[in-house]
Amino acid sequence: MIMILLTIVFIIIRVIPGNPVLLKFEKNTDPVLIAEYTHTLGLDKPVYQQYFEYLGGLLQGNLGLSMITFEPVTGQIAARFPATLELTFYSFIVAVVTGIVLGSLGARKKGSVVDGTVKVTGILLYAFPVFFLGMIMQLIFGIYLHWLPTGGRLCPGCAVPGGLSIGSFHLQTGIYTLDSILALNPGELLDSAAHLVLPSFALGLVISGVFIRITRTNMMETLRADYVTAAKARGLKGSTVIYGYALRNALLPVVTVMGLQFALLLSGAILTETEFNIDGLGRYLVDRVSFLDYTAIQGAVVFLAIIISIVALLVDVLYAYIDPRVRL
Amino acid sequence: MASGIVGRLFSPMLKKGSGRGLIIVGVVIVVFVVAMSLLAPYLTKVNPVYSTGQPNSAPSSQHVLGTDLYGRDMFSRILWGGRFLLVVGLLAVMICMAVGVPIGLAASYTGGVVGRVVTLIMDSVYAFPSLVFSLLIVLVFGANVFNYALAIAVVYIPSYYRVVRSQTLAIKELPYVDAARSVGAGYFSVIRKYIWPNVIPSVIVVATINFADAILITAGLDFIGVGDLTKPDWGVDLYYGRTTLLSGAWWTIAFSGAMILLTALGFSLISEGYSERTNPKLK
Amino acid sequence: MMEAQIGEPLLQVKGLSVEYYTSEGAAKAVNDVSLDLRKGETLGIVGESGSGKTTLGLALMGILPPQARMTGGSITFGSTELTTLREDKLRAIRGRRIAMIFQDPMTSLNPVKKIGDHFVEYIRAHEPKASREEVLNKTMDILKGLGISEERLNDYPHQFSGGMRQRVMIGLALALNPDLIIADEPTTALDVIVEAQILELLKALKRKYSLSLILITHNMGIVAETADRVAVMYAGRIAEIGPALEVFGRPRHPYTQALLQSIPTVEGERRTLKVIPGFPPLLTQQPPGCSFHPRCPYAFDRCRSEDPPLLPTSAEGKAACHLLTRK
Repeated sequence: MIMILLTIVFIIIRVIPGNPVLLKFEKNTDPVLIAEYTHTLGLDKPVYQQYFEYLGGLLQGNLGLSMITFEPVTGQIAARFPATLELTFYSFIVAVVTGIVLGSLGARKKGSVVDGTVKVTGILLYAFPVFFLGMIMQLIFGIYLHWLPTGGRLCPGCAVPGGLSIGSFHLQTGIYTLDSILALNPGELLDSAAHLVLPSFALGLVISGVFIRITRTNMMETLRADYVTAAKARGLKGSTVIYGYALRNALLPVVTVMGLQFALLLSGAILTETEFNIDGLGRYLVDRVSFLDYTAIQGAVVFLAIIISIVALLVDVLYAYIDPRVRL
Repeated sequence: MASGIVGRLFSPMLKKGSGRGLIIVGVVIVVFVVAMSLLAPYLTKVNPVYSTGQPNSAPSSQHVLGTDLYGRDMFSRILWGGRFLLVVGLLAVMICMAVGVPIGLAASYTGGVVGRVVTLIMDSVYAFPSLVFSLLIVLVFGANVFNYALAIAVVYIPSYYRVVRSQTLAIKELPYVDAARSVGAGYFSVIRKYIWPNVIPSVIVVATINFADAILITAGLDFIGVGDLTKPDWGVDLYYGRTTLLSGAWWTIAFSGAMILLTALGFSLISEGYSERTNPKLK
Repeated sequence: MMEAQIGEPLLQVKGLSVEYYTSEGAAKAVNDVSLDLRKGETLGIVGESGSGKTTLGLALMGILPPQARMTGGSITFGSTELTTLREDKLRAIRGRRIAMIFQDPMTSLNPVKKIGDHFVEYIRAHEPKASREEVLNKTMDILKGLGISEERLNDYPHQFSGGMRQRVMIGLALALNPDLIIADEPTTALDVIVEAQILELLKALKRKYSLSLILITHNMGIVAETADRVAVMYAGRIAEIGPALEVFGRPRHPYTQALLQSIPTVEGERRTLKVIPGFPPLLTQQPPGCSFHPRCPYAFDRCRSEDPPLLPTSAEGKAACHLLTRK
């Protein structure tokens, strides 16, 4: 599946009429300069050769050179990926927790006003443009209430969390919340966490829409299942039955959906990073777009495709693990 | 057959039953937005593209919804700003239906190797993030309406395919279809008479969500700064509004964002309403 | 609560009514039902689908679904009135003194829980002080008594066959030595051979532990085999109730008569299948008077306007039919 995605991406980029380099320069620039530029980037080789070289490079982790700065794209992505990873992680938690809590609430109070509210909230959240929600949150919590910072990952002028240093062993992940824990620096932790609150909630809430919906739907079914009635008949406590029997079984299909939602999460991350000025992979992509830096764009998209495929695979494995019917 | 489809589209809306409320509210919203966009030239004479007032001025009697950073009237921009998004949505849905549904019907009904291969391809495309893909297409091929629609459609076709496929597979095996086939009903007539009518509601569910997503994606791309930033468009408003937001000029984004939300919400409600209808036991 | 002696009344239901609230109105699933059960007795409750027998069972346990409500009557178990009991006290009785076996063993067990864990969780819920060892030992004893080997403790429900799953259910029901077991269609989802095994098992267990049993089913064959007394339900009401020999040998209610006649026999000459014309009434729109009168071959005026009360047919039997007043 990854192969199909990669090929599609590659074809699209290369299908650009003519030499992409030409698009960057004025009409009457010195042809020699253009030729040199093209050659440095390896764009003057035949297309199929470029394709295979690219694939070969991929296996070694080489995503080519930026068309603007001539730096390796891989390095640029590696520097920014941790930020996206961090944002995605916390947003995911927000999404899943909100989804399960609200979804199970709606299912338990089926037919009531609470249930109706949960249903509508789910639809509303899903329809919300994440960048708009982000803006609203920035306005309310950042500008009017002054509770939380509105952008960036750290306060202006603050040092980047150092990570773990033991003697000559140094580990810095680039995930600021993690690094500040490793460095045992509560101030840094608080700062980086505070900067994450608004964007994680903005992205997380929008994604939670889907989770609310499926949790609710699934749980309404499981609550009426025979094994739930049988459990009640054994005199088990209400909470035991709801969580151990109904919710537990309702969540199984939710896991499969998580894989799909991840793609949505990444798309949302692109928008969220742009909105909140977080220097992550999403923002990188957007920046490169404005510069028409095609190799960088291609590299970023390919990287995203790979990540999505890996996550999809992990989700499948996870599902097989938690559903005994599949496992055995 | 056309009147049959229209009838099927609208009668469930009015028929009593689950999801009716959602569908009606959704349709009202959508009709409102479409009407507003269509009637824009008659509702305001103010030009949304040129500056007609002081930049960043708050809502006033002169400019009912304020002006943006270039001094353009927000009210007029709101009225005009939906057109592009709606057209993209409409085109995307039409392309998807024209391509996805027939493929779904044919591949599922035929079954066998063909069915499996097509499903495999569809599953591969399904997981691809539509925003990213659309970004690429629009970037490379140009920012016109058709490209947006095409990009969104390509990634959405698998959704149609899946839904059509699951319905087709379920119905294909039913006894009365078998009975029809045994008395000689042909390939196309079986599809037309038995499978298609049951597939329609599910297709509506997907189509309306498709529309909602198309709007969100297109607005999102505008927000990033891709495409033609001179057109009056709610997404573009948010692109420019970002810079003025932090100074407290909330009107530069509030209404445009609300309109995007409202439109997407309208379609989503219709989708959810029909979804409840096709799964009544999950009310 | 005092231990009842064999033969003494264990369960007394008086005037129980349960309504379901649907979009089409209120459905009276159980309508003024009264019955008694003595200790050590097996009471069979027969009726078609929709006669209210399952709802009756759920009501006795106090686990009606949220859209159902008990609208009247009393349920006395031993010396305790169940309808006014607080939920936590009720839970102490539910599963411990009164246990229930359900129809479909395929769906009655939690798919993500090991069989052993079902028992552990259940026993722990009622005896929180028991040590893990005690609980496990008890579980294994029960399983052995049911013919299930110990190694299967760590298996999941989907790894068992239907018959074995039903045994597990029975095991769960018996684990804490209840006084009363309510079995709702315990063999309907099983094939005939397994059904016979399960019935034998039930009979043996009943003798061994001097259980009282309420057997709810539409299968009159197994009721005839296992029940001491029988109640026939129709449209939420009891049509006839009495000793099994009497109800099956000399049925007095037209519905009971028709039911028995409609059982196809293997012996004798081939006849056309006798069916009862018409359909049971919608529980939301019951006819005035006797609910069976539209289908009753003996219906007369009084049947159409007055709901017949339970009148004695013999020393121990009763039937709800106006015919009994005509002699």
